[in-house]
Amino acid sequence: MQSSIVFVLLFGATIASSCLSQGTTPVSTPAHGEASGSTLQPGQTENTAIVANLVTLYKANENVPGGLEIFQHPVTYVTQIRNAANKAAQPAATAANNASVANAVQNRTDQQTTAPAGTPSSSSTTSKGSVPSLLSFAVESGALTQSVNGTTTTVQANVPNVIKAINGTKFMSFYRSEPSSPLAHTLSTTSISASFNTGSSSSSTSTSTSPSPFNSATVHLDLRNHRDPRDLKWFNEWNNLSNNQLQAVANNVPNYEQTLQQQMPAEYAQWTTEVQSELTKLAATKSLTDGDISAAMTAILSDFETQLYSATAQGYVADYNKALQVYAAADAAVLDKISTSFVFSFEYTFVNQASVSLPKSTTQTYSIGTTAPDLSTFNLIFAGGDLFGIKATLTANASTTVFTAPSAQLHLAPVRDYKISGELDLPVPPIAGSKKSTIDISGLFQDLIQEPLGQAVTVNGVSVSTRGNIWLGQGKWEIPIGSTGITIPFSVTGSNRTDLIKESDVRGTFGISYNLDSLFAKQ
Amino acid sequence: MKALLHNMFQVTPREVIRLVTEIDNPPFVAGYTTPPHGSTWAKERRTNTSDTREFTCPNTSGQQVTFAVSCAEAIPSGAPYSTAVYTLTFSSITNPQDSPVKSGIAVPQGLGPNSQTYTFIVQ
Repeated sequence: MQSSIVFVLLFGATIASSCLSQGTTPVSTPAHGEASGSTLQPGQTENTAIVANLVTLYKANENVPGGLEIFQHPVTYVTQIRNAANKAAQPAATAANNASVANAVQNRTDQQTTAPAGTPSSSSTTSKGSVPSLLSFAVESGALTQSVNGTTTTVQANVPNVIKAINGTKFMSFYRSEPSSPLAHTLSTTSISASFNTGSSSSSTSTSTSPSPFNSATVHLDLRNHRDPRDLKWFNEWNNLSNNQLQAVANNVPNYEQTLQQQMPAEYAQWTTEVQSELTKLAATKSLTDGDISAAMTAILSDFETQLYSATAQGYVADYNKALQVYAAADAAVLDKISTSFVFSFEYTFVNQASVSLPKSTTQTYSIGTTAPDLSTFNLIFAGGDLFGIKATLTANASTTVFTAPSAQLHLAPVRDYKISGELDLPVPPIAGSKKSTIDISGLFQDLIQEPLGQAVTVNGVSVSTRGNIWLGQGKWEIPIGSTGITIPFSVTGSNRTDLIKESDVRGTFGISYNLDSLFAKQ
Repeated sequence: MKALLHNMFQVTPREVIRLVTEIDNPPFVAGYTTPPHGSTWAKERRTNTSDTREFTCPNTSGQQVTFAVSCAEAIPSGAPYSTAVYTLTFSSITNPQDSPVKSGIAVPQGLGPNSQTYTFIVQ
């Protein structure tokens, strides 16, 4: 160990070298967001998307009393034209994301899907604040979810999934009770996971050619988690949205339609008659198919475009469209607030070391075949976002790992280590036409009281076997260069142990390395 | 209050109408034309799954009250449903013997807000 402080400025280092990898960078992309500059006009190929929206809308409303009346209103077509435009304007990745989730919780950044930090197979040093709960796994039909990481398979269970697997009706009832039932809410965010070895593993401190199948088990409990738009905590937000921006939308509906009736009475009357004719035909059709609905909606939309959505008529809808745009922005802000609200969690992890044979120790001697006691890790997790009003997000962990029993042959203190770690993600707005980026600042302090016999302790991807205090800080920024699509990874790392600095070019206590390959490769 | 076609109602002078809007799953996200054309809202109450409000119809025959209800959705990811369904129940406070009239607006995920316009004509 070198006690001096080393700073490394690394150009070209990959972000994968982060000392505190946290999985995906928190990104909030509300499904309801209004794409800027969406200018879809009727008659374009996107009409297919508009008709698809209308078909979905018809099927959703056909069994609702009076639900099909919405098709008598021009605003319905204006709204779906806008919805189709927004969807078309979204980046492919965002659209795909929205398709699967479509709301605030879709981008819960606190979810952890692999073995929690601290378990032997984990690549994370900072656990996220919330496990995948009901909302992210409802699409799966099984009571257990499974993930594979290297030679370790992790299965995870939570109460909602178990209920769902057993009885779909009770699951629906349970799901609906969540917003008003603290017990249901707590159960929905509690999970149990277990990891099993499915192959041989090794580490710098321990090896085993035939590890025990049972690797570790974790219980995760969210002590505070309001990242559900149904949560009563958000009542005022939804109420304000309803009474302001959505009320403005409602105010413009009769205004727009009365304007059409006054300015284009003949066209309006003719279109209304045609709509009623098409709807009547659909109502009379036995064994209605999507094709039938699509044909009718195509005809209605075509008539709407021709008669009520001319260049002149589009002027009449400007106020309504403006109200929709303002509403969409306000809606996105509410969803963003929900998805970045802070989560406080507790996590307990048990690690089985029964079959881990120990290598040579630097501090003591023991006979071959000696095994280390099992480990227990207690971890408090904080995850929150929108800090400082710039949508910065913070994830912080405070944990301790203890041996679960004294060893007959090993001289072990009960507590193996204490650890505090955190990561702050600061969004950087686009610079000179470049894309948005994120600066990640992370830090870790660990008091390694006991030589980690058995499960390895890793910091910045490096196994640590020497006792003592460890601190490490790192800042990372993948700098986008204009609109070229080129990025230059940049990181700064500081630690009281040089062996934790992964860069090769370290000179004394200060090191610099350059790697601008990504820049030159494009030229 | 008597329901006519296409969200139109026939009402008596100064008839008081109560509108209760309920959503099958929270959050409740609905806006109303305010004030309604030809009247004002009264006795407004809101919960996380419903809204209750009343209005008084004009006193003169031929006059009308018109308003729109715009409904949106905020369906959580992975929810076991993909559509928010709002049920609107119109009932007469003045003439309680008149049967309540139900209307509805379904909002599929990502396809809102959707609006209905209602008109009450004084006979």
